[in-house]
Amino acid sequence: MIRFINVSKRYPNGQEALQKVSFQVKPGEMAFLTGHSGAGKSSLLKLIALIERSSQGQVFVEGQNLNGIKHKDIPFLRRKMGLIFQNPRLLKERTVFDNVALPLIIDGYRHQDISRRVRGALDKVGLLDKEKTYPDFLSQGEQQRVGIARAVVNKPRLLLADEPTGNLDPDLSREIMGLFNQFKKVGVTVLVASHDLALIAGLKHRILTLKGGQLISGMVDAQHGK
Amino acid sequence: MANKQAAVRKQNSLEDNQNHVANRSSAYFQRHSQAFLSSLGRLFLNPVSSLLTLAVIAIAITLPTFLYVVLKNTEHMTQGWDSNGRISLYLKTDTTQAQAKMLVQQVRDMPKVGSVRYISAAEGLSTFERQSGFHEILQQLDSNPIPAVIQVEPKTHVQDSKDIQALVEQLRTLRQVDLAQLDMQWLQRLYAIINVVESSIYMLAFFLGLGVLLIVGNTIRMTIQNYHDEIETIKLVGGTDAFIRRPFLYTGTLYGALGGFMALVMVFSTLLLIQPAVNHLTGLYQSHFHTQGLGFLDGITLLGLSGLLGFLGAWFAVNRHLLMVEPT
Ligand SMILES: Nc1ncnc2c1ncn2[C@@H]1O[C@H](COP(=O)(O)OP(=O)(O)OP(=O)(O)O)[C@@H](O)[C@H]1O
Ligand SMILES: [Mg+2]
Repeated sequence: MIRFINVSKRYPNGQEALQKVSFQVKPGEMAFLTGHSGAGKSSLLKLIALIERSSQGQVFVEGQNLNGIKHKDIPFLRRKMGLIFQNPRLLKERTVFDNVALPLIIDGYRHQDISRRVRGALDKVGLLDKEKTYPDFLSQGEQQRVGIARAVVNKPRLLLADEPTGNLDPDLSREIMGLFNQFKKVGVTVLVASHDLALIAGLKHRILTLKGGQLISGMVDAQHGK
Repeated sequence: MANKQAAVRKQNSLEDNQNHVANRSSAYFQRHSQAFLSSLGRLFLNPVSSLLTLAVIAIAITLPTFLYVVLKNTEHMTQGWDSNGRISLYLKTDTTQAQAKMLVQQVRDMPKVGSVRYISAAEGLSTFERQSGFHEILQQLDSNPIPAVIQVEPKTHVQDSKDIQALVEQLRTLRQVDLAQLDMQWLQRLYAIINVVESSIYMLAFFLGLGVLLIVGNTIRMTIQNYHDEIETIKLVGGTDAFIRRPFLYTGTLYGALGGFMALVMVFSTLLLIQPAVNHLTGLYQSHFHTQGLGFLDGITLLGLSGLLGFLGAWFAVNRHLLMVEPT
């Protein structure tokens, strides 16, 4: 599903965020990405969503080499994946329903299909009763769950999350991770960046560790062997 | 192998989209009406500043439109005038006073002739002396170089320029007439002035149109800045540039068209207000003259043009600012 081959990322200011990173995440797998602050976790995820482009090496998503994707085709790549951020980036002037519906509206779904799918997604994150509320009136955990509902509403086969539990207390964090686990169970590939080692160690998924831009462990899927 | 993978991928995405692909065209319409409604919402989100922008646009459009109406009426009013030129008959210098008198009578009796005025050579000379200032030079001449002139006004119902031309030909054949000239200089001057005014109005319209373009462009630019985060989010969930552009283009077009509509209302109210004064003026010239406002077609054209200006203003702003917003 995701494959990095000798990928390096150097920002225009000369900062080396990633150096010769190689790994693979198989379809349906769930993996964590960890490392100290500034290790390059966010940078790695951004390369997968083409928010940034690699300076060297190749990134493949579903077998497609991202180096070959033109600017105008980026939206269609992003529709294949659900992105979740520490700050859920909700539209403040829109209701919860409209926020979750956004990817479907963009993709040109019919009105009836939109209602059905949005309710389904909100149901999964336990917020069906909040569909008419505005984001400002929600707790941080609820906002994060709306962000997750938006990420999964068009049933992507890949979920990328960058510090999704960064602002949440341990109980809420476990709840969110539980949600990701559920998506993994229905065949979604999940990659979560987090530095909360205590939280992710208990979840028995592969852990990729970055240090100073280099991948130092977890390159190989331990459970499935080489 | 690679082919097989691609085929599988294609199959998968086909199944994925099976449900909504068939309904794309109706979804396309829904998306457009949605964008239109959201741009309406955007206008009403900030009613005061939107109204101010609309007022500026409306005034910028009203000015040239009103002048255009005035111009149209002026042209309409002067239309009948060109065939009513005055004819000057320059008499031969050896014409005696008695001959001239007879000639005047003869011309006056012609059916197409309205009024006749005789200016003797002496009269002409003194007028010329007064106006030219060549007093000394003229004093040294032995004889009066200025001919006597008969000024002929055709009857008012003789309006066709062919009839006038025929009359000129007829007068030219009279004995003692040296030269018959249709004197339309004053009219030509009037037309030249109208021409200058017309070009000026077009230039003014051009610059004010450019102004409308810039106003809309600037308003859209500020809206884009306010929606910076939203635009980023939409890009992150797979919104294309076209999708993001759409509501801004609608907003711009709406600004232009609404401004144009307000301009129409202002032009019509102004015309109503000045109607009594106009009636008084036209009464002095021709009683049968009717002022013309803006026709239906003019109104539609104005709305279309102002909408187009708004669209273009938004287009430039969007391409300059919107597409530079990239998520980080
Ligand atoms: N846009 C940018 N321009 C320049 N340098 C950047 C940019 N984004 C990140 N960096 C640098 O790249 C390195 C990796 O940053 P990144 O955000 O990927 O780290 P991270 O592992 O996500 O850290 P954190 O846990 O604090 O979120 C850092 O040294 C950072 O300063
Ligand atoms: Mg980070």
